Amino acid sequence: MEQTLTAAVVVLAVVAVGLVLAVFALARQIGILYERIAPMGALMLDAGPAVGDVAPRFTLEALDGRVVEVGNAGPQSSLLFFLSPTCPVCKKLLPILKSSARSEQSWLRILLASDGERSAQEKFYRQSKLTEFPYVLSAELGLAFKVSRLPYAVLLDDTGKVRAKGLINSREQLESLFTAKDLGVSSVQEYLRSA
Amino acid sequence: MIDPVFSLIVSYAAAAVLLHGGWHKWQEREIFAAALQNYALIPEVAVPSASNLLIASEAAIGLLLCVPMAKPLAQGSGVLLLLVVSAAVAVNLLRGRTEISCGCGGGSGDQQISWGLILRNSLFVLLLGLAALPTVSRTLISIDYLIIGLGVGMLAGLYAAASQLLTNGPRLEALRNT
Repeated sequence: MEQTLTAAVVVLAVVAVGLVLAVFALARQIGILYERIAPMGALMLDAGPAVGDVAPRFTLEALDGRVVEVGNAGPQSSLLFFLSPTCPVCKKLLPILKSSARSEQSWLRILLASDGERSAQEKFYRQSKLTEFPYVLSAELGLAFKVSRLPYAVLLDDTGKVRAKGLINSREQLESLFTAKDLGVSSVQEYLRSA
Repeated sequence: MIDPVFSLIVSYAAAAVLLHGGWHKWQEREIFAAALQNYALIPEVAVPSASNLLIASEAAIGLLLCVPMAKPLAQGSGVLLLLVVSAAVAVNLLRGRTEISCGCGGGSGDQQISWGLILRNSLFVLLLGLAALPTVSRTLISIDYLIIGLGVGMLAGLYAAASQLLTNGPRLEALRNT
C-alpha cells in the first residue's frame, strides 16, 4: 500500500513539473508572438521610411533654442536618437552616445528626440548633462519614423537618406548602424546573409 | 504545525526566485537604478545606493533561506522586502503611472507594473508566511528529498510562468487597441 502511494505521488509530482514547464513555454511563445506582431512591427525594421528612402524633412526648435534641421542635405550624417526620461535602457545608453559623439564627430552629428511634458524633459536634459546634443520635442517626428519602442535610432546620411535604423539596446547595436552605413547595406544581418 | 517538506519547498523556491532576480538586477544594475528612479519615491541622490541596497538584500535573503539556522530571519525579511516593493508598485498604480517598467529583471523582457504583479507578490508573501509556521519534527526520508526537488521546480516554474504572463498582458492590450 505504502509503495503504491509513494509511486503515485512521485508520478504526479513529475507530471505537475512537466505541466508547469509546458505552461511557461507556452506563455513565453505567446509573448514572442505578441512582440513580433506588434502594431508597428516592434522588432522589424520595415515600418517608417525604408533604408535608402529620403527621410521626411523637419525644422524643429531644440530645448536650448537651437534650430535643428532633420532630413536636409548637409556636410555631416545625422543620427536621430529617440529616447524618453522614463526609459531605463535609454539612460544606460547615454554614456555610450556621448563617447560615440566624440569618436565619430568627423562625420556624424547626434540629435536627441522625444516628446511629452516639457518641464520633465528639461529637467532630464540638464541632469543627464546632455547639453552637447540638440534635444527636440516632437510627436510628429516620432510618427514620421514610426517609432514604437525606445530607444530607437535612425541614421541619415549627408544627402538626407535613411542609411540604417532600429531598436538599440547596447553599444554593439548602435555601432552596427555605423557599420551598416559603411558597408552600404541596410543591416549587418543583410550583409552576413549576402557574404 | 506544518510538514517540514512544505516549509523547505517554499524556502528553496523563494531562494531560487530571489537569487535569480538579484543576479539579473546586478547584471543590469544601471537599468535597475533607472527603473527605481521611475518609481519617483526616493530622492534622486539616494537612487544609486538604494538600488544597490535592494539588490544586495534580495541576494542575501536568497542565500540565507538556504541556511537552516537563518531561515526564520530570512523568511521574515523576505516577507518585508516583498511588502515594501509591492507597496512601491501600488503607490505608482494609484498615481496612474501604469506604464513604468517594474525593474524586476530576468528573462521575461520589459515587464510593466500592474495589479497582477501585486497579486503574484501577495501569493508569494502568503506562502512564505505559511512556511514560517512551526514544523512537525520528523526525520526526512529519501522520497521527501525527491518531493522537495520536484516541488521547488514546480513553484519556481509557476513563478516564471506568472511573470511571463504579466509581461504579455500589456502587449495583448496594445494589440487589442489597434
